[in-house]
Amino acid sequence: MLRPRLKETDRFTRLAGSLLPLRSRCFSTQPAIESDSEADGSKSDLPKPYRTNVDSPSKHQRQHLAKFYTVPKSIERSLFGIFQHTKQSRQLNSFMGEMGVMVREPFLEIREYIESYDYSQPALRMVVYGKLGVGKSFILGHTLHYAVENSWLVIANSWMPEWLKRPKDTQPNAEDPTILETPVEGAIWLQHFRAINERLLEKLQLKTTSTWKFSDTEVIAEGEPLIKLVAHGIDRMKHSNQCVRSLLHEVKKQTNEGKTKTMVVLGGVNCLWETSYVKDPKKQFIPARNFHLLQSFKEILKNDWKNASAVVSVAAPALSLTHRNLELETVPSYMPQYLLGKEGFEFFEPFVPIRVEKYSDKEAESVLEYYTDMNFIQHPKGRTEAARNELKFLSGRNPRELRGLCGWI
Amino acid sequence: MWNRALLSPVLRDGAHKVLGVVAARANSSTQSSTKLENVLEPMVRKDEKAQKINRAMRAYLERAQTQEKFLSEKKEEFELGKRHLANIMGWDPEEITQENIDEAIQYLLPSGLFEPKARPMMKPPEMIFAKQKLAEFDYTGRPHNSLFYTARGNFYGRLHEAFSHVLRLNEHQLAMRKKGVRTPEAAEQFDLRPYDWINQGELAELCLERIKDEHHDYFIRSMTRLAEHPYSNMAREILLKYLKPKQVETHEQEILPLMHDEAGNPYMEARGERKSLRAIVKVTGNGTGETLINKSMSVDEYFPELKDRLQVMFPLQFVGLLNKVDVEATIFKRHDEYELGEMAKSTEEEQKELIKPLELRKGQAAEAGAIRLALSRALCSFVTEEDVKLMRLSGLLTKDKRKRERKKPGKRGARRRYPWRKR
Repeated sequence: MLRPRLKETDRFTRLAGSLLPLRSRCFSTQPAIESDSEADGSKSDLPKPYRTNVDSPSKHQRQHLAKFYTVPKSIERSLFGIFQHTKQSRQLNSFMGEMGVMVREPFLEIREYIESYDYSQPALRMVVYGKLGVGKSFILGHTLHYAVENSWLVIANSWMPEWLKRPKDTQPNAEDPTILETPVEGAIWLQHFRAINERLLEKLQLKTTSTWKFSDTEVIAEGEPLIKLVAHGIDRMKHSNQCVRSLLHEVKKQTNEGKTKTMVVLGGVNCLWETSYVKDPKKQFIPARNFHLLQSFKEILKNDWKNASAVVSVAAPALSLTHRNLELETVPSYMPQYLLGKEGFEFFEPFVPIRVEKYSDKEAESVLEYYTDMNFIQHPKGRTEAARNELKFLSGRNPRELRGLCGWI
Repeated sequence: MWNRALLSPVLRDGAHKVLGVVAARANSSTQSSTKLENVLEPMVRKDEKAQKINRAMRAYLERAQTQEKFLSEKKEEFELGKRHLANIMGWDPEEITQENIDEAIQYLLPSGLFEPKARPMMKPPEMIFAKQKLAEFDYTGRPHNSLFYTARGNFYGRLHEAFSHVLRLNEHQLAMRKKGVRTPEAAEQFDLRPYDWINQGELAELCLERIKDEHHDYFIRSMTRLAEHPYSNMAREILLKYLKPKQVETHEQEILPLMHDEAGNPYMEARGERKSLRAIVKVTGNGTGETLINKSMSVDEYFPELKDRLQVMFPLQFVGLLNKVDVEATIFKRHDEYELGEMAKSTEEEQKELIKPLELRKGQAAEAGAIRLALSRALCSFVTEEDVKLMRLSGLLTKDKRKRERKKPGKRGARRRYPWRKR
């Protein structure tokens, strides 16, 4: 009986193709239908107290704090299919049948800096930091949504350490064998870049400003469209890292000239000063500075250009913990000075630190209301005041802990 | 057979003396050294046929004499030692008491031994050497007690006594019924509630006999039967011999009044222990449920496992102050010489040394237990007395006395044996 109705919904077709196991799909069906029917009738009317109908990050105000907005379907599929949050967060979104993001203080702070900055000055750099699981990635995602909405050229990656710690394929550079290339990662990122910025690039019609030679036959001449450079990296995976370097170089140059404005959103940048788990022929672990792809991204994080802003996050999991003889719970500090190290901290100075805190009482109430309403908390006693107090205390109002606990109830 | 009529008057007197003493002792069941000297008198007598002493009696008398001599020697030694000790300590030897002696011994010969009985001690010889049973037979070897051959004469004698009372009460009951009193008043029955029966050891001491578990059980059953008789108040005296007042084991904790900090918020501090840890917890009212452990982390960061967080949460939830008070806890390794007064004296750096190193994520259950106890104690000041009673009933204010058991030689741990393989 349910099947034909479900097939009609856009949501279920998306879910059916998702990464989720079958069981979780079954879980997510019921609330998805309910919320759909509710949304149709009452979306234009009063939203629930934990929700806001304003789904544009540019219009979020202080009155929307601690309220959830639903990321529009198109953005969710295109942008956040690329800039992916953790697996647990994606799973939760599938349960809910929507991508709900809470409007929080750090985002408004970041937006205020971005909007009030004088872009004739060197690039604005902001470092998002906070304890484990407080929602740094979601702040980055929210910022990214804002950037895409406001036609910024976006250079984004949700989790940089992925390139450092688990590269899918490695090969030495043709010119300098000490430098390591990660062609698969490079090609994937180029695809992502093209997907996110497709419309903007069409509109801007950017051209290359110098000739890029990859081999005797494969040359991209001056004045050709920038998109060709991207396409070459994707087609010839071997050259993907050089393509990324030249692309970022071009973007940086042309942004500096004022042809566009660029937003860099990167997660876990403190891995740029870490050591990978890949060994060289001498059986030494290769440091991040010898990775071609990471070198290019380090270039773009410098503040020697204008018309740009960078929002990056530093996090404990981005450290190479095994080399430091640490575990995730025993990392001594979450502050940028510790996570970036001396070299990294000096590289970023001057920067604006953005601290993300755990949920306030109001935010915790809001998120519990949201979970209960979306049937993520299913136990009848989960709705009581006592249960909420208990959950708040046990999780310490840490978003990740709270989500983990609610998953059992 | 020894004929009493044939005895000469002097000897008869002596024999009567012995018998009299023995009888007196059987009644009192206690031993006294002054009377024993009289017992020894008949030993020097003329050897007559009628006065021949039974072998058992002779053995007993010899034993008693040796024991008496030994005890008197020990007593002299003790008196001398006492004076010597008083001299060392600079006390008046005439006025020294047993408490003073214990104190002096503890001071002069400090001992770290666990078992108190194994530590050095100085006590009067009567307290150290076991009492001996008096002679239960006369010169011919004939026992005084008709129950002698039950091997527990005194014990069964007491049972007989109890049962004779039961019979007497039954008769009384019948008589009352004849008078028309079918249901006696409640006051006629003895009220057992404020008393406890004596335990096995105490019973053995009373009887001067070896009392086994089953004997003790039987005794208590019989006595309970007597006590539950509707007219048992008449046998009050005999019952009270075997009863002792009930000891109520509630260590009433002193509930301190709330203190107030500069901002006017009420707060209270308390300590708790578990295994080798101590926790000091400060609870501040008008809070939002913030927790801080060792001045660095909140509960969810400090305890990765949920069970430990639940332990900390339970007292707060029980009194309904969850997310209404702020909790600040400090966990210390337990040092016996470390006391709260020293905490105030010690510098901040010394305090940091006392704080358990954070990289050790071991013993978290004990940490949570210590915090739970300290937190419960502190919360007592925030709630009514009724709630404190409930907290005590639910075990929140009870200290968990369990400790790590020491490793034994020849074992892998406390109990576990090394694997044994047949060669």
